[in-house]
Formats: sequence, structure tokens, C-alpha cells
Amino acid sequence: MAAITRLKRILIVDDEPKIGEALRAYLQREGFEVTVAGTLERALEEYKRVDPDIMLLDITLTDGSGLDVLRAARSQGRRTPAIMLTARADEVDRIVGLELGADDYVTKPFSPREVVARVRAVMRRSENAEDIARTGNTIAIGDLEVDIDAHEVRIAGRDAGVTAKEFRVLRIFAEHPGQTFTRAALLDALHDDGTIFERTLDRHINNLRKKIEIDPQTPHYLQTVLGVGYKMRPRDG
Amino acid sequence: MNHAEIAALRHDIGNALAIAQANLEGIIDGVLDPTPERLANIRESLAAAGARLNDLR
Repeated sequence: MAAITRLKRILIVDDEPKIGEALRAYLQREGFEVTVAGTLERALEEYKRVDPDIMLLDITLTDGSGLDVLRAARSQGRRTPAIMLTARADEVDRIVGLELGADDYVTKPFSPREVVARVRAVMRRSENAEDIARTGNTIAIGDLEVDIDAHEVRIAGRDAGVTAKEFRVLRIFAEHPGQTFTRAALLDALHDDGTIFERTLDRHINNLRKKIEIDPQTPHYLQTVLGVGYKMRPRDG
Repeated sequence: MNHAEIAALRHDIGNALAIAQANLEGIIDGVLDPTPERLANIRESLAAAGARLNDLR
């Protein structure tokens, strides 16, 4: 996502307003847009309204637990990072082992500067995880990489220099390794607007082979299935 | 003193000290103003922590 710099939003849940407000002051100085909630009920409302990038959750609340906020987020399939606050050392083991996946915890009393440092570290970790997911939009088969986002095909790390049409053809194969396509099925999968014809398909395949195969006469990746069509070799074949 | 009582004590003292520390550090770091109300809160929190500590006797 090409994020135009918007403030990161943090939701702080603590039933002690004097703790919540001190943390608010620190995190605002750090450039966060801060929302503070003192009860579980308010916290669940604010979670929905604010859609925070990260949460600081006190475990012991008068009307429930900060873990309930985490549970609600996870039940909606949200991976919002969370740092738990607790005054009870005996709760720590329980939090860390939780399947809910809190990212970190801080025990009370704490230094607000320490909390800010933990928030920064968790944000950095979760942003890195997003980057990995983005580079994950590349299909790799052996030395062949089909980079969907960059619209680029690389062989052993080098740009193969495929044309837009060749990319579209290769992408279909790469997304279905091991599956044989007849020419008709391939045209179908391309949802073509009439610029790729059955007779030009063979030419695209031949050109692709010249660009990605070591020996285009005996293709390793884009294989001919005699009498039927073509297939991408299976991932581990 | 049983386990639940110790946990409650830990909770109360931890929270009271957390209020005092967070606000005092905030003043020192210049993110919070040293208003008379805030200073009074810090003193009260420290007193509350001390009172709960005396429950250990």
C-alpha cells in the first residue's frame, strides 16, 4: 500500500486514567494519534471506531480484561499488534504463552520511555512483516521468478526482459505449475481482448523459452505436452 | 497471606507506583506540566503504595 503519511493510531486501554493520560502525552510526542479507553466496553467501541495500528492493553479492567480486546480483534481475523500491561508478574507467563499472540508485555510500574521503546520495536517488526508479504507476491519456480507486482520475470535473479503479452502468458502457467493447458484453455484463462490469438500463442511461448530457458530446444520450465498443449514444470519436479 | 491476596497486593502497589512513575517522569521529560493537581496525585499514589505495603505485616 502506498501509504501517504498518515499518523499511526494507537489505542491505550487502562482503567487508571492517570496512567492512560501520561502514556497519551508520551505517544503524542512520538507522533501517534492516541485514543484512551478506561473500560472494556469503551475499548471495544473504540477499537471498531479507530481501527488502531497498535494497542496497549491493561490486563485487569473493572469490567473485564484487556485480553478480551485482543480476543475480539483476533476473532475478526485482525492481526493488530498488541503490548500487554500488567501489574501482576504471575500473569506474565499466561500472556506470553497465549495463542492470542500478544507481541510484548510490560509490567507495572514501568518507565513510560520504556513503553515508547517497546511500541516502536513492535511497530517496526509488524511493518517488516508486511514487507515480506509484499515480496511474497512473487512466484518462484526453481531459478524462475514471476514478480506479479513489478510485472517482471527474472531468471537466476536477472531480468528476462519479457514483453507485456509474454508476461501475461507466463503468469498463467506460473500460477498453475504442473497443470497442462490446451491452447484454447490458455486463451480462456487469459481473458483475452483479442490481441493474443491461438496462432500467435506458439510464438509467445517460443519467445518466452528463448528468454527463460538455458536450452530452448529442451525446455526445463515451459514444457510441451505432446498432442495437448503446454505446462509449467511442477514446483518440485 | 494466600496467593489471591498477594496477587491483589501486587496489583494495587504496581498500579499506584505506575501512576507516580509515569507522571513524575512525564514532568521530568517535559511532556507533562507540573500542575499542583498532578503533583498531589503523585504524592497520593506513593502514599497508597506505602499503605498497601504495610498490609504485609
